[in-house]
Amino acid sequence: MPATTTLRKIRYMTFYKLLSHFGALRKDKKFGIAYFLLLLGGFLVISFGLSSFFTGFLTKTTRIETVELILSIFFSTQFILGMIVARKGGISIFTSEYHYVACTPITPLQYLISDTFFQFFSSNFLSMPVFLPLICMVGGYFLKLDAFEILVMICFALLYSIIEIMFSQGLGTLLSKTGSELLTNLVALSLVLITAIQYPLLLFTDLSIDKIYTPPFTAALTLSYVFGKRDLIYPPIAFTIFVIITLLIYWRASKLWFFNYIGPNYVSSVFDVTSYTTRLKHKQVLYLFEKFSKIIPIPSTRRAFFTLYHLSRMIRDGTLWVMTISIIIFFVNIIFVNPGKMLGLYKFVNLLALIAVANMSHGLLWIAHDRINMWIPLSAPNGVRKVLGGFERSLIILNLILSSPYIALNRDLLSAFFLPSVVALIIIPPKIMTLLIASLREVGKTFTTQFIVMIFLSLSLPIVLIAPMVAGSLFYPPIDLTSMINYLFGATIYLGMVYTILCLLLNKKVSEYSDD
Amino acid sequence: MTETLLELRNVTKYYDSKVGVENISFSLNSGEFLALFGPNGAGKTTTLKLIAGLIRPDSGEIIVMSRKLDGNASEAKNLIGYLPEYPSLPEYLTPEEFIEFLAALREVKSSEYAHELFKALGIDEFSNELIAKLSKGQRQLVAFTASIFHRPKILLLDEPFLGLDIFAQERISEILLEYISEGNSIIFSTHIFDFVKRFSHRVILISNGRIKDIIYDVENLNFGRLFKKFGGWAGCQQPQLSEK
Repeated sequence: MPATTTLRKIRYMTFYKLLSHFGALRKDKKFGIAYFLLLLGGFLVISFGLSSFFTGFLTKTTRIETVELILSIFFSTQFILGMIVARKGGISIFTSEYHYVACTPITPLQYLISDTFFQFFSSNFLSMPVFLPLICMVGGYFLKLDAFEILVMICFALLYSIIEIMFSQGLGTLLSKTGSELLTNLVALSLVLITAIQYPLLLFTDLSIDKIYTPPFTAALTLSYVFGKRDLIYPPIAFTIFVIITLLIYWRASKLWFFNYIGPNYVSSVFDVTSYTTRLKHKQVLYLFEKFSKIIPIPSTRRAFFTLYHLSRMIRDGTLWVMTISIIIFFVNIIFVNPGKMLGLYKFVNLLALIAVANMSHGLLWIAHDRINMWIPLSAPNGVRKVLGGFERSLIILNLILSSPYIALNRDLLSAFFLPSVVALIIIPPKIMTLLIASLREVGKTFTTQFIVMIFLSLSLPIVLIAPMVAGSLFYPPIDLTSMINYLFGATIYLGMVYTILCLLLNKKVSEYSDD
Repeated sequence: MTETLLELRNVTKYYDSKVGVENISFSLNSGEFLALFGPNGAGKTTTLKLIAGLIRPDSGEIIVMSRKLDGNASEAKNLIGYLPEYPSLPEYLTPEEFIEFLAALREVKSSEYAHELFKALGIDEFSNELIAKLSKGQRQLVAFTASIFHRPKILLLDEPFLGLDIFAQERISEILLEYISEGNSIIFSTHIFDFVKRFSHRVILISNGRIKDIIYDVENLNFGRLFKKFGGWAGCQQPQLSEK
């Protein structure tokens, strides 16, 4: 086959994927604005999460180690995400591709290359604006690198990103071919665990960065080696071996017709809720629900049914896992990394922010997921109330489980404020969801401006609510105990007031739409 | 002269341990209109997916114009066009862009025929609108164009008239009859008995993943006879297929 034809196919396939993923932005300008706002929200959340994570390390590491650590976190995040994708075959297949591309004469290699490009652009769209300035800053500040060296650093980071995507695609495809879900999960999750456990190991043992030979760390150390900041030979060798292994499994995967092993993995466009995708997702939620109901016998009450339905959906759409992992990282941070700092205020804010964002995300994902079926509760007597009741109860269960370690660890004044705040965070999302559902009179149609505004408000609301506390926490540690307690009281009153006003307003609006 | 375009030899496909199709064998001649008929879950869609190369048989062979069809058989794949039962289209491409994309993948140099089809089916008016904005029937017409624009020798149609009004059904029927007259062949699956009777040269009755009968005398076929062949209502029970 002529090279021009091959290149043409790769070009078209890549653009097709990008258009399918970011396609909503073509439809209307407001989607573009909404998407930008979502990215901004994501940026804030990631930055906030990272800043709290770094504080524990900075006291323990030297300058070069700090840079390596920051790079390794960037690389590890990509590696972990890659392994999660690898569980589903490592390749992003849109449903339309399954129907139309799979029966064309495109070769697996052409498809794989297109998908590498697509994943590179789509996955880095959000993370790059966060990490690249960070890399530039730390490189310039800690290592006194000049502009050219920083450019090399950025290029290396981008190159690593491509290698990691290729590794995920190759491994995912080969694992899918075995047909064993157990093996696939075992390999992918073991690699996730190995990558994640490096950081606690660094903190709690005498292990130094240069003794860790996982791909993210060897990549970071290789960069130090390139700049002549480290005189290590084994990490670059280990990294080279990783690259060779990646190329080999990628080449092997390119020989397989993977459409036979990997079905459409529900990668849909931003804001896209097509009926086909929804139908497939529903099938999986119901499958999970069925599994659950075999383990936990459901009492024949409507309440239990709806609660379990929402919990199954949260597990299926992945938000529960993301939340659990975030909380685990948070508590590791609390217990081991900076146990004395801010006497719990910083952690208090952190945890509330996590819970707030998670609760709103649960709500939004539910609407996005179930939107096409909203005619069912809307047309049933008290339907919305029943479904929302289930949603509320599932949030209560989750929040209580996830925040119980905090209460157990902090038997002090803060805990007394903590529970009411969590309760408030549980109350808010169902109210907003009610408004959203009530606005969905044209069920099944594409998103309206109102809906997009609500999405943004819902995502940004928790951030707005905790903003004063976040701002306060940024100035730590030079806050004495008295001013901190004053601040705590002030902040709690502020939160309480905002919540009360919001609840009152929402209640008023909700009652206008109420179907009770 | 009649040429064998497609041959299925003892093709079997299981979904986990449940039968999709079992030991299916038949051939398709040039210029032939072949109908797959059977109750829901009988194995019609699985058969079409196997021929389209979307799924691989557990055993048996599929031969397309003397070329064995495996996952990566480029030449054989360009000889086949496939319209899925519930086609999933790229929402944020226009019909024009979608066809251009498929033309690049299928190495079709001229998209003149696609434009002829657009005109014949009345899609030309909205060929530059995003697919997301089209109605169900319009989308089905785009999906139909996408399956036939590269002039495949074998066209696989899974419920082609789903969601179409009678005018669109008639326009598609005309295109299909013209297409057959050029020596191409069609395998189609439908639940609409009238269409089976009107178009088919041969009807393959499928039930529980197996070929129950092949009917050559389609002209004299009536629903009562067909119903009896499936063993009445008892024969119409669906096998429990699980699709990942």
